[in-house]
Formats: sequence, C-alpha cells, structure tokens
Amino acid sequence: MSASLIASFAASALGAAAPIALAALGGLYTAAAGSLSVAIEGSILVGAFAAASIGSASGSLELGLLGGALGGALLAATVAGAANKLRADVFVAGLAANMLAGGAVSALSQSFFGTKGVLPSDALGRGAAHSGSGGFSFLGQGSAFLVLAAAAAILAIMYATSVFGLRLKASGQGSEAARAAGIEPDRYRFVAHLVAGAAAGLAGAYMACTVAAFVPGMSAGRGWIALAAIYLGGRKPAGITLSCLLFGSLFALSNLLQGLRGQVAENAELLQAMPYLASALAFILWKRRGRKAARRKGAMGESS
Amino acid sequence: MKVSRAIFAPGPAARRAMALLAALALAGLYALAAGGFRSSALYAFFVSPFASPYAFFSLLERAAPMLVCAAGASIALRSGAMNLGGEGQVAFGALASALAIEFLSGLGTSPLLAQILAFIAAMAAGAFLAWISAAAEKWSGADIMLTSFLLSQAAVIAVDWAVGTALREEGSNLLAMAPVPAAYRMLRLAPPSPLSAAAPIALFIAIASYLFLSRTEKGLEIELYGRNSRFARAIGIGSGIRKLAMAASGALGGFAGAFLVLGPAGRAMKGMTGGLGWDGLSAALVAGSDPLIAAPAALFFSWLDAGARQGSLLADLSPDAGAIMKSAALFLVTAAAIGGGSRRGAARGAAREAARGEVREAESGARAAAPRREEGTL
Repeated sequence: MSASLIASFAASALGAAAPIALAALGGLYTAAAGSLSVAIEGSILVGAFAAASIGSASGSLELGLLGGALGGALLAATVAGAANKLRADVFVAGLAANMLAGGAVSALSQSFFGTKGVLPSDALGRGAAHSGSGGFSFLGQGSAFLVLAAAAAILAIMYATSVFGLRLKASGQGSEAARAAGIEPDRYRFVAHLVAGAAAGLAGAYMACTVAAFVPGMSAGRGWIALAAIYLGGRKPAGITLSCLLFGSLFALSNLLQGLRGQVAENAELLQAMPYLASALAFILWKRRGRKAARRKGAMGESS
Repeated sequence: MKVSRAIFAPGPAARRAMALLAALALAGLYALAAGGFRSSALYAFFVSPFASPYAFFSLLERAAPMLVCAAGASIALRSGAMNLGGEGQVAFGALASALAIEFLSGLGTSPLLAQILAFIAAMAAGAFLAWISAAAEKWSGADIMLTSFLLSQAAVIAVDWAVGTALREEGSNLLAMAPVPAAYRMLRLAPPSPLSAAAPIALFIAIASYLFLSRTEKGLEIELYGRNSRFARAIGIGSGIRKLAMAASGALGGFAGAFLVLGPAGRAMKGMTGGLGWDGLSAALVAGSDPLIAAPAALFFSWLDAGARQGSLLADLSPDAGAIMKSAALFLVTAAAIGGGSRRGAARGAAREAARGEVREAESGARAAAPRREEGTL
C-alpha cells in the first residue's frame, strides 16, 4: 500500500471520526446527567442545514459554523423544554425531535431556497481541505476541523475536570442527593441537552463543510453511532474518542473500497452498510467482554 | 355547587385524545399561516383527504402497513424493548416477499398459495432481523435500541442495493425489481383507487395482536417481563420471552413490507420503506402501545400525511408538513401521557431509572411514556 494511500485513508478516517466524536462527547453530558438525548441525530441534520443556509447567505464560514451550533442547540432546547417543563419522556421527545428535524429542514429548504435537494455553500467549502488549493491543511483536514477539535477538547476537559462536570455527574447519580448538595438537577439536565445539541449541530456544520453543501439526510445515522460510541467508550472521553476513531476508520474503509474499480465499485452502495454492521458487531462484542469481566470480578469477590 | 375534580383530571386516554386534538389545531394554524389565511388551505389539509372515495381509500391504504408496524412495535414495547429497527424489518420483509413471489410465480404456483408463502417469507425475514438484537441482548447485554437501529440501517442499505442493482429489472428505467404479475397481487377492493385487501388484513392483525397481548399466557408473560424483568425471572419467565416479542415485532414489520410489494405498487423499489417503520413506532407510542388504539393513531398519521400532500397540490403548502405535525403529536402525547396527575409518579420513576444513565433505562423511560393501562390491572 503506498504512503499516499495510507495518508489519504488516515485523513478520511479522521474526517469521518471527528463529527461523531464531537456529537458523542456532547451526548455524554446528557448521559451523565441521567437524561440521554437521542435527538443528537436530528441536531446534526439541523446543524448542517443551518450552517449551509447561514454560510451561503452571509458568505462567512465562521457564521455558518456558529449557526450550525445554534441550530442544533435550538432543537435540543425543544426536547429539554418538553422534558423539564412538561415532564415529557425525554426518549420519546427525542424521537419526535428527530422526526421534526427531517420535516422542518425539508420544508424550510423549499420555502427559502426553492429546493429540497442539495444546498451548496462556497463559504463552508473554505473550511475543508482541498488538495492543490493551497489553503489551510492540518492532518489532511481544513480549518473547520480545528474548530471541531477545539470544541471536542473543551467538552472533554470540562467533563473530566471542571466543577460543572462534577455537578453534572452528581445530578445524574441521584436527584435527592444532588439537591441535598445544593445542585438543581433539572437545570443541569437542561444545560446538558443544550451542550449536546450545540455539539451535534457543530458536528453537522462540519459535515456540511466537508462537501461544501447541505445534503438531505446527511446525518445518516451518525447520531445513533455517536450514542453507541458513548457506551463503547465506557462513558469516558478518551474511550469515546477511540471508539469514534474506530467508527471513522470503518467509514473511511467503506469510502476507500467504493473508490476502487471493477466489481467492488459496481457494488459500492452495499459497502455503505459496512460501518453500521461493524458498529453493531463492535458494540455487541464489547458488551460481551464487559459482562465476562464483571462475572470474573464477581467470582473473585466471592472466593475472597 | 360542587364540581367533581374528576372532570378536570381526565384519564390517560382522554389526555392522549386532547393532545391529538391540539396537534390538529397546530396543523390548522400552520395550514392557515402557510396558505395565506385562505380557507382553501384549511380545506385542502383537513377535508380533501376525505373529499372523494379515491382520496379516502388512498388514506386507508397508506394506513394499513403503518398499523401493522404499529402493532409490531407495540408488542416489543410491551416486553420492555424499544425496537428501532422497523425500517430495516419492513425492507427485509419486502425483499423476501418479492423474491418468494418471483420464484413461486415462475413455478406456476396458485396465486393464493404463493401470496401466503410470500407473507410467511416476509415475516420470517423481519423476525430474523429483529431476533438478532434480542439474542445479542441475552448473549452480551447489548441494548436492543441501539443494535436494532444499527442493523436496520445496514439492512435498508443492503435491500436498496439488492433491489436497485443486483436484482434490478433489466432494461427498466426504475430502480426496482420486476413487477409482480397481476394475478399474484393482493385483491383490489375498490378500483381504480389503490385500496386493497391490506386494509382489512391490517385491522385483523391489530385485533389479533391485541387479543394475543391481553388474552393469552404468552401475552401476559410479555407484559410482566416488560413491567419488571427481575420479578418476571423470579416467577420463571425467562428472557426468551423478550426474544419472542422482538421476533413477533419484526415479523409484523416484515408483513408490512409484503404489503408494499404485493399491494398497488406491485414491485420492490429502492427507498420503498419511506419512513414506514418510524411512523409505525410513532403510532404505537401515541397509542400507548395498544394495538387496537394504534388503528385510529395510524389513521390519524395517514390523514396528516394525506392532508400535507393534498395541501401541497391544492394550496401551495409544504408536503413535509405531515412529518412536522406527526412530531408535534408525538411531543404533545408524551407530555400529556406522563405530564400530569396519576402519571407523575411514573415519570419520576422513569427519571430515576434514566438517572443511572444506561440506554436500557432510557428504554424503560419510553415505556413509562407509553402506558398501556392503569397499574395494578394485570
């Protein structure tokens, strides 16, 4: 395998892993707060659409990325509001939000841009690395990747080391105990949803940057894969990042095989199933390993 | 004069109905605002789906597979599992039925027998896909919610590839398999409308699912396991019952897929599921995982879809309004179902469980959002 092919594969894997990792790290906040958000999928889609819309209207990459984060947070706020104020079930509200995202994005696209199809944005394209363009490039990624990486690092550090992270985890461990310690769990859950929505929205904006456009249905299950990554990574930022690198590699491998000629290229569409199948398999095997380890621990505890 | 407080504290079913009415009111406001405050927009959205036999029968035909999916989703929900793989199970069922009917019609099998075998093949395919998630849960503890979704995504892609590439009809412009011979399609009840035998069959399946869950021993076991798996295991109900429930759920998803192939469309096409699995799950959640109540819920969702479609043709409304209104209904119903009165305790319980942060607890939270009946009536 040539060095350029390896570099191309690594860049592709990193580019695919980054949005999943950011969305998963945001989702970790809701998991820690005891109110896991499944609306991440919808927030990615809304974020991508908001970024492309604002990016193309303003001509600014920065505003596009900001708009993506805000769009994702807005959708998450509906779920958090329904859960906190109306005591709606957060899971069902999340499913409703995902459904809302698909319909609303399509309707808005038709209303404002006269199309339900691809929405190009040259401004967002400036955030992606293009070979030969002479623009910014780092590990094969564009400038938007740096924003994504910085956001992911901030989320991971805040979760692991800040007082906010500690209080968030406390609010997820038990409402009564948290209240006794002066923590208002509902408030922390609300903030956790906003953080998760903004992170997923930014992840969607990054995905739009990589293709310089919003493409209908472009989230394509990545929000759910991010949820799997949270548990595959043992609910720890480092583990989640590693899990996402695995998932990113699977997407990159799928893309690489689709680029080959002959029989493989003819059946390229089928290869798109591989990341989902492999994610499911990895998740099942990891859980099996965890169960075995727990049993061993239990047996050792009994014998001692 | 003293007025009973009960008037102001309607039960869960009434609250669900009120939530759906609120969703309809929202749809009306949307139709008015988007249609330039013209009565024609309201007419297009609300009345035109019922304005002619053709339109109404189309609505019924669309509701039929949704109802079967909803019945399947209800069985999984009752067992405490959130089956998010409906789309894949529908797609698998559709492909299996298309292959079966192609093979059997080639052999010259009688149409009725071929149809029965095609439905069985569809159910087996859907059941197999759903069963994998339940078996994986037993083997490793992997959450059904995530594995069913991931496997479904893969299944939909694989079926789309098969239908649009490997098994595609030669020389056709469509990304589809060869059409099912006319004699092997389901009976059309009111031609030229698309209404087929799917509608009465779907109603029969909903009733049968309801009776299975409420009147049989296995149904009770599913219910008990869903309510409290630890208690269920203590009285000898093993996790096999979850596998049975998931397999039944997937089988009904596959059955709905066969409707798509053997119905008016008459062939397996790329992208044919069109969100049917999600709509079925949503209808089941709105109906509180009661297969009988799922019938009006599926009709309601089908009405919203048809209204949005008619509105886009007659009053320049967005055809996506249906999806938006369905999500509004789901939001309102989940809030109404556990937001007040007697359900507050259930919500708190679900929140406590979810606080442990496991996906499994989120599933149980979803179950709390879809109460079937008052606690203690088992």
